[in-house]
Amino acid sequence: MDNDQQTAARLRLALDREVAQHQLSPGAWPRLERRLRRQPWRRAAIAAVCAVIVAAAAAVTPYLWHRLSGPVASHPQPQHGPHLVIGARAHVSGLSLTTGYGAVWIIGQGVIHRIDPATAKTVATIPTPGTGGKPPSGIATGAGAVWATSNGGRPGVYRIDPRTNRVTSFIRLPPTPIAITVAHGRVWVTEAKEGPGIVVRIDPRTNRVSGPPIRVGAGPGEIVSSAGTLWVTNSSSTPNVPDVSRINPATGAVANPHGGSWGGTDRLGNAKVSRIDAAGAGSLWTTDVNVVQRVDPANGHVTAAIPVPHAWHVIFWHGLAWALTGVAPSGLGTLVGIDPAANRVVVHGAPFRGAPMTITAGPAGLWVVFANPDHTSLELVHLVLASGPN
Amino acid sequence: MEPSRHDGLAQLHQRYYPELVRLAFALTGDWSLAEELGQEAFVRAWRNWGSIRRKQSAPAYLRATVINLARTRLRQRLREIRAWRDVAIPRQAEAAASPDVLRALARLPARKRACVVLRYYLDLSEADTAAALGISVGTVKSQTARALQRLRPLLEDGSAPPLTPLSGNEGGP
Repeated sequence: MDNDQQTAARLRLALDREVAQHQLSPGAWPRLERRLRRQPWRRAAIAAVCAVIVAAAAAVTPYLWHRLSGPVASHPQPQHGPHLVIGARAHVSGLSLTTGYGAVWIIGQGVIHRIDPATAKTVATIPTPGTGGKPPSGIATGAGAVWATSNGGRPGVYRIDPRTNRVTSFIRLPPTPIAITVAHGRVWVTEAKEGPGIVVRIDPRTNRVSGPPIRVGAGPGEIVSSAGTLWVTNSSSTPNVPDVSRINPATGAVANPHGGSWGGTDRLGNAKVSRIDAAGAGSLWTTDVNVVQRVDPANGHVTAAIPVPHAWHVIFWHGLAWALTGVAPSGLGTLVGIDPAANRVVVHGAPFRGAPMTITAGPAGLWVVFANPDHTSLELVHLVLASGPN
Repeated sequence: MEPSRHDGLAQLHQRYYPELVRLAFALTGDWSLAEELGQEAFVRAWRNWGSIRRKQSAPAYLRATVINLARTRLRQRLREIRAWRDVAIPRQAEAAASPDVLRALARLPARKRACVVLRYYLDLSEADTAAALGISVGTVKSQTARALQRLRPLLEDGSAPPLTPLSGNEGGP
């Protein structure tokens, strides 16, 4: 290595060290969107568009009344082959949800709602005191209980007994518990804090923290369990780009903690696999720009990129990968099903229009929270897979 | 199908925002300012979307914008520091000047500083660096080589004055 290369390498190393001491502030894109919305000419354009819409609405009121009477309007076109049909649906006030113990559980403001899957109606409202007015942030079921994280006034995890619909325990945790999952006999909670984040284990038999915190990348968020591994998405890891940490649930060891991004990086240092959404069909699943990606859990390599315009989140259910799509800024989008045997979309769209916000799977179908087209209300919709023409 | 302006900008933001903040940080030594400049670059890209999309040169445009914004803001900051020199110690300028590597970079002239950061920190090719700075590939080579020559003793020395504003006509929007 000549002198110039040595100097360049030294400069790069030193700058990497400096940058590693900082983290990107979260929410950069929403802040930018808000700023762009404030552009004066944009305000004028919006006012003009609103005037046109109001005029059009006045002219076609009966038609609009029919189409927009609910947050989710019906899709008129008949579909052939496997397709989704709407089951129960109801207005809700929260977004984070999960299923288990014969119910859908959805987080509200200072409460958790128990939803009857047959009717989508709330059958119990469980107070979660001490959240400081903020709703709990994550929710999961397992080990005989419903678990919800709170990072409001009193940070920790609520344990709810699904037989009595009451909070039976509260496990105090460091200040910012984010996501939660139940796997391998433990409750796993990601904790964001300054610098590297941590994952905390809770023993559901004792309701106590079990073992030392597991150090992962910066800004840990969602946590997915699959193939004997826990996959943690770090939203702001060094050098301030997302990547993935892998935890051995038996030992709590993090694989290759200092070895760089799993699956490698591109030439700008960005992790090629920056997030894991779901697991199924022997693969991990995530999205990149306009594609759904399959990732080999053995090495982090992307084995397939399936074109799905505006895909932003994937779950796995009923042998298919289901991708939520949304077109900013309205978020209006849909849900498509991908056959992992063929790596292609086999369920096109969904029988409604709206902005899909969150999704979870239950035994009989998918549960999606939609915002209506103008984002003024939320509706929980049960979607059931059917075959043949509708 | 070509993405809308909003979607196109969202894709660019997802891909390039961290890089632009790192670039701005390497040029200014101030992380908060770097994030602000990164955001501002996208606001300007939004306003000039038509020309960017036609040229297919969004990354070069964004980098050039950050470089020019960094130069402008550092000039402003230097003026403020001079104006307040006898009144108070400018805390942010002190913080920005503290790390040795940033001090060493600060001693480089503007174009050399930008060349060496783009080439050896962001790993851009000579052609991409030239595009971002609006100069020829030959100039990139010569400026980078001279910058490294000047950096070598500075990185070993560790002493350096506060950050100076970028100056010169680096090109860009």
